[in-house]
Amino acid sequence: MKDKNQEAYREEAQELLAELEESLLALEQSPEDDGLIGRVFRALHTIKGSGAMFGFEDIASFTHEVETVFDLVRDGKMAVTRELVDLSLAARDEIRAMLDGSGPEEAPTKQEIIAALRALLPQAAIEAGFVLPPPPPQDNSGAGAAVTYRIRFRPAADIFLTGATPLHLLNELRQLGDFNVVAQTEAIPLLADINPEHCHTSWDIFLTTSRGFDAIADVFIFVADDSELDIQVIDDGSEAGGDYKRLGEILVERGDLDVDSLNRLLAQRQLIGEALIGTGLVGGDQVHSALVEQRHVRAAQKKRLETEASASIRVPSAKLDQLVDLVGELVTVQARLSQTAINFQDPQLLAIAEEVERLTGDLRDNALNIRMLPIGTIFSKFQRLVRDLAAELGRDVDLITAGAETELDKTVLERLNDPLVHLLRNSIDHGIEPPEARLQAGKPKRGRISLTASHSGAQVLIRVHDDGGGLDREAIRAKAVDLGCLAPDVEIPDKELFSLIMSPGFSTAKEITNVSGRGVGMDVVKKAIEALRGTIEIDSQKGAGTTITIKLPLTLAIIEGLLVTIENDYFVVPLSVVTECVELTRADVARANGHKIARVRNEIVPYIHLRERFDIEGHPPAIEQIVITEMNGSRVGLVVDQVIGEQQTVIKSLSRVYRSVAGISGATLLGDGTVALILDAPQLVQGQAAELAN
Amino acid sequence: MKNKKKASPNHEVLKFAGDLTIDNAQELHRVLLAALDNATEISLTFAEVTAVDLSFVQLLCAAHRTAVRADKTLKLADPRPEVLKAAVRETGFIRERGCNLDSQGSCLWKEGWE
Repeated sequence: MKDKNQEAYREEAQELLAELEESLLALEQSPEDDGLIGRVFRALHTIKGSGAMFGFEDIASFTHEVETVFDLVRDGKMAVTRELVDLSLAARDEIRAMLDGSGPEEAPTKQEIIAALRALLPQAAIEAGFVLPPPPPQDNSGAGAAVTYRIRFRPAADIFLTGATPLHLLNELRQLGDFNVVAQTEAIPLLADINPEHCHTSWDIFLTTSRGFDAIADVFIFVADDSELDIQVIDDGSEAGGDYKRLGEILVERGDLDVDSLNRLLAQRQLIGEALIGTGLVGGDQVHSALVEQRHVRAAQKKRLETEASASIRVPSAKLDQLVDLVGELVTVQARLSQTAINFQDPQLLAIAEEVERLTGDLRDNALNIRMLPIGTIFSKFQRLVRDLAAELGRDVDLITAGAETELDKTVLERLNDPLVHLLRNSIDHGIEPPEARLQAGKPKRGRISLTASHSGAQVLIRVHDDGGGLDREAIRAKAVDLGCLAPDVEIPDKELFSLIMSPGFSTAKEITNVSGRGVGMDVVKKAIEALRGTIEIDSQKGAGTTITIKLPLTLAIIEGLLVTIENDYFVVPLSVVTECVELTRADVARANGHKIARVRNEIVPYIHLRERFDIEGHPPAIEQIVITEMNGSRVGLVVDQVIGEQQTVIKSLSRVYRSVAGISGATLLGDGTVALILDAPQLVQGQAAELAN
Repeated sequence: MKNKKKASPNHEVLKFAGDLTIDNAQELHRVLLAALDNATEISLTFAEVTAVDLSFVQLLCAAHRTAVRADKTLKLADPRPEVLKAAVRETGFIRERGCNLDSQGSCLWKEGWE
């Protein structure tokens, strides 16, 4: 049991460490951000607290030292410096090492970090003997549900004379939780009538806190006797979010408005706030206060919803993979069932088959959805990578990420990590110039690398852009000619030229650094992306930077495909590349004078005759079908005998023997158990282009 | 604590400094009252304000109401000291629109307090 808990702690701590790292790096950029300081502190605090609870005393006591420092930072007694961030990052690595139990205990490092951290403490704090209380077993205080209160407070007119200041009371309440306050100013008289030493203001206060009613009452303890005080629960924290009361309801509930007037107003179909103020039924202050209440409660409910959403269970990813495999099998069997039902023509069986089809579809979507992870989980690691690498290479680089919430299948994500690391390294090493060179070129000293992800249909686009020197067109050209990839007198578009740098052994770097330049980089990246059934494109402008665009399918396990036949063989074309199907008659072929082109709505589309391409014997039917695909902006047709229809395709990888067959990316089982090969359209087109070029 | 100068016969500029708190509320009241009696356009400026509390925020509200009633203008100049901004924020005076008395739409609490 204990081991299980420890395992759970390890997993939790890994996440906290990731959070810690991310916050620290963000903190380096904006050292005064209280929110970030809070996040760092909380992460440290939880690592420490739970560590002590699960028997990781060494981690608890070490983390305690770092936490001590951040407690001072949180109280504004210390500033966030580069040095502090460096040390904290080192400490984070150290905690991680302790967590993994990797390597021998390197006590000196720990001691060094602690000593250095202590040296950072301001003198005053050391003299005051500043230490945090020892690690508590676990912080359970304030664990109750957060409740939202509406507090209406009208102090006695002479409150100033008693020595209590309303401002102080308000600020004390502010400490208790999420706080909003609206002053009711209607009672403030004209200047001629005002007694400047009296309080003419009352307040509506909205407070979300888990500290309970008593904590609020305690704040007012010395003024309660002379003041009007009304504390009401307006949201008890049980409702699962959604819509809070309407403005009119709030005002009626408070007694600021009677129900009849409200109904009359509602009948006018105006915005209620405008209408109320227009008629003068309710003061502007009261409407404003009701609006603030509405916003406050909605925000509290939303926050609660988010916390609830983050409540999750941990499942080893292997179990999920197994689930998706099983669902894949199920989809295949379901297709067979549907096929059989159609053959039998039995209404009852058909009804069942349809029901099973619907359920299987839902189950498939759900299972795949579980495996989806936001790409942000790997983005956050890159901040650290870029920071360290830039420092090593003497570059000034900011990494800007966007679209972290874009979701991708877990397996895709895992295999995406290495290629992205490579691309980022390239950008820093070859792309971003040293600071002096940048200044000379009239660019800002700090380079920018942006890493963005976005959805585009059934694909995910990932872009790595740097504002560095860009690719050297001529050098690439010279090298390509040198390697024999390009004839000296041939001009090719930039995009194609740049894609040559992804050929094996291609590096124009004059010197080899330990980061890149060995010519093993880009071709590995390209292979990895293609293995994910993705594509990669390079765009670059000399002096302005380079953009690398990766397109990936959302998932690897199941695709929507178009089932086609040639003679007796079945093939599947991924639906994501198909735009339309048209007929190809003998007459069309004759008209093209031996060229493999078709005229589609007055546009010329080249096609690949798959029967010839795959050497399938027999005779094509009189009317063949062209499946027109679109890739990288160009249209190419694939000629087949017949198009059968759309098909859920569970991808089975081919055995090693067949893996090198060009133009085929996998196989799938059809309803009747027949094997259909999945066509790799980009590869087919490329192969054809290469053949033509020769 | 403050001094005043006439920018034009009908325009008076008041300058506030030091503690704008309950301890000086009587005098602050007197100064504002006098300015509103004398001029039709009053600008309040601030320099080295060390403290602000609710009593002063209330006075500003009252002064503005009085000005609106008498068809006069009362404005707060920029820059506004951070202590004043904090007091206005913390006492919950900030508004998106003025109260029912604010017929000019010149409510002091709408802008410039962030």
